[in-house]
Amino acid sequence: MNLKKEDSILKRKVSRRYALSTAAKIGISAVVAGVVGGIIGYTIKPTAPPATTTVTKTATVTGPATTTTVTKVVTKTVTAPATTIKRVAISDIWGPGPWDSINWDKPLAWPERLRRVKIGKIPDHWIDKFPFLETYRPDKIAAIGGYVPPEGWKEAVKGVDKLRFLNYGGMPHDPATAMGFAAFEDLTGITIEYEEMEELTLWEKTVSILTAKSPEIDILDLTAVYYTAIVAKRHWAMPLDFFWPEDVLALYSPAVKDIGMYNGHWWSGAYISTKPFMPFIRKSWLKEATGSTRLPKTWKELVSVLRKISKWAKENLGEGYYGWAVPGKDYRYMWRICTVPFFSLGGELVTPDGKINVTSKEWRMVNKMLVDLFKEGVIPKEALGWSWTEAPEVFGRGKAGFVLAGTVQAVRFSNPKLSPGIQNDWLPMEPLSWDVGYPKATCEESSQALMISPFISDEKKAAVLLFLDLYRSNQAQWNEVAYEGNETLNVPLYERPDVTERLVAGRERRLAVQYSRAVMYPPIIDMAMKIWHEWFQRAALGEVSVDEALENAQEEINKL
Amino acid sequence: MKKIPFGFLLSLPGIIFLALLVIYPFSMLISISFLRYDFINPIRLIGFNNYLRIFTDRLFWLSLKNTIIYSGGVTALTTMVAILLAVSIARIKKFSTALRTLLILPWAVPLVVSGLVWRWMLDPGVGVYNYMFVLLGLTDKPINLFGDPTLAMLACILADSWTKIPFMFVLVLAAIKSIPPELYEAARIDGATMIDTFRYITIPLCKKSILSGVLITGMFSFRTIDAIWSMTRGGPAKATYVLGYYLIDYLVNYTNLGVGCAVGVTMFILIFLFAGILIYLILKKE
Repeated sequence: MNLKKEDSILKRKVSRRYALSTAAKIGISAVVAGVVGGIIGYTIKPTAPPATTTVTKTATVTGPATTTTVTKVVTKTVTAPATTIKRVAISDIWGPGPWDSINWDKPLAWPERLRRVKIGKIPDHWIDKFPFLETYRPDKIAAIGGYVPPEGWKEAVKGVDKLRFLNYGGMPHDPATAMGFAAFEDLTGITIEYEEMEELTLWEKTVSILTAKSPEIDILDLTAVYYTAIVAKRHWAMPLDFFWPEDVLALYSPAVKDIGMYNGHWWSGAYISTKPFMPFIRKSWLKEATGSTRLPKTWKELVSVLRKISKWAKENLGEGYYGWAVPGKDYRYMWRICTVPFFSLGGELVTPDGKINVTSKEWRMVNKMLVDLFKEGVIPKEALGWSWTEAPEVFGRGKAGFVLAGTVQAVRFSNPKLSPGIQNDWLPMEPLSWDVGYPKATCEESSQALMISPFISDEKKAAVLLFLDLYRSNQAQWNEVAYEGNETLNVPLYERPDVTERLVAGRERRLAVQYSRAVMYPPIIDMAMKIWHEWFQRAALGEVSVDEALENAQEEINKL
Repeated sequence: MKKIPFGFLLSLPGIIFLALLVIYPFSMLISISFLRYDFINPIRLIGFNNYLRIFTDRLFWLSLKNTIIYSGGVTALTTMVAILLAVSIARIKKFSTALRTLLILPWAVPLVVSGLVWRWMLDPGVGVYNYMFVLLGLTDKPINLFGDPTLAMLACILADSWTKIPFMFVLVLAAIKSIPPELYEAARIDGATMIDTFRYITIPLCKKSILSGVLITGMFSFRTIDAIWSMTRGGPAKATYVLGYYLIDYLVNYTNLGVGCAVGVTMFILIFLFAGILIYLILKKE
């Protein structure tokens, strides 16, 4: 290499004219490259991933012989005096827009449009779009129609051909959601494109889209009790006060208000994967340890039974067999587990002025109960490393005597492939009361609320409204509860024979929905739960006492 | 007529790239760290309040301590194993290419995947390592790594180091290969043992490469949380809660950009100091 020549090239001076013309050529090339790149990028922009071609072979196994009691509801029809249900116009909340053409009470009254369900075989074109529907349930029977769209929707959604959605988890695990999309496309011609992601990643992605005020996502999918307050305060969702008039609200559990309203306004239009917590226990372990299969009715009884189960398991089965499997790594699930007995005790986690309180008498009692169980080894220290999927898996593999998990786990535990260790040897339990004289209670904090992004076009907002109306209808919710295995806040669905005959542990699940409580938390809840979780783990490890842990946690929470 | 150096024109694309993708975002990071920016209250200048907040936060110091332990552990383990492997492979004639290829494979594994894989291998209930330890009689019961604060950190260090060892190995091996063999011969003639040659020839002559590897490994492990995310989520009891996690919490989970950026600036300064010292050592004339 001729270094001298190279050196002279670098030091060579050029004329201004030459420099300008070279710079212009480079600039024009860059602009052209940018335009070409932009066109290419736009045309090959990644669309929603195609539905997975993984064929999931799910064998539906009838659960243990539980007596499914169909509660006969004797309805006395009283003809009420004609009252006019007040309807708030959308334009009163959102201002004028294409949505003004929608008449929610035509062709049928709003509640009637939502109430209808048509059961049948899943259409082939739905299976083509979502191949896992072929095998999720062998009979391929689902709610395939019934919902009646309101008049005037076509004008409201003119020009909309697709909506975008972020799904919590993989779509093969959400067949009800998939069928909701398919039904919506059949009704309106609007495709719903989706991306699958894990919960915290879903929130992170949603935050970055909303921070940028981007129209990238149309339908927001967020854990209701944790994110509604954040979203509402930041004006990251459209208020839906007009969407829940009294007669429509009557179709749902009162919990809908708990998880849908914040600061006096409605933010959620529909819910996915409602999952109250339900206790599950090993039948044979209960019998061996206590001499009886009588199920505990209170937490006090349960703790005594768990101690016996844990002792029996260690003596007879050896290491690696536990009393109670808890998801100790997951701060949200541990919080939820604590709220189950806490709600029975009647405690309040949020003070009237919106502050989080973790030093109440009730919260101390519950934390002390759990920490004591950790110290006694009834809950193993290994559990501090288990996630919310691992704890039920430990139970399903036959390694634990008890688990408190979402009601959807009843479907998992019935599946011999997913839960080989406990087939025909587990029992669902009713919600427990703290002690005799206390009310039964469980928690419901996992419902995914569907909301409308404020950064999309008016026509898309109208289209999302239509989708939310479909998704909260009995048609979509039937699939949530009777096909997928989640619960629903459309409580009357549990009285339909075509639902109860398909439910595993149907009676206990209905009771879980009936007795579930939820709290709409303030925006700092995530930080507060993390602070509490750290101190709880320290107490479980014996580093500090329960009282010290809660006092320290409260001190840090107060600084938030 | 004024003439512009041609060299400057050639550097222009690089300067534009640097300005757009490094200088501008970095200046945004610094400026936002002085703002109250939480999407609830109006954005306003609050001076050093964000820094004050983090420096008076117990969790910041805890995460800093954990980060130093984690980064130090990953760097130390990576360096020791990589040097050992490089010295061993340098002496092997047969199958050295195949061995080198196998040793480099973990480099291709994303850290999150490494975390997940090690999480399951080390699991007390179903992990292969615990199974083997019990089977071979090394322990009478499975070791509970993820429920123990100290062992959880070790597990995370192991998972992270596994993916970084190949890079350091390549650096050190290249340095060893560049050492003239005559030096080793002369040392052997003078009666030097293997340890002596390793201590007085190999290490000093590979010092710059080792320090470069330490610099890069240290910098990367200081800020990454991938393995921790997939293995322990910062637990148990925040035993593996590092600065990167603290940053993510503020930026994303609590959406407090002001405090998050203050954490980012602090991390930058700490890494800058560490890198500065090492670069000085690397460039220092003997």
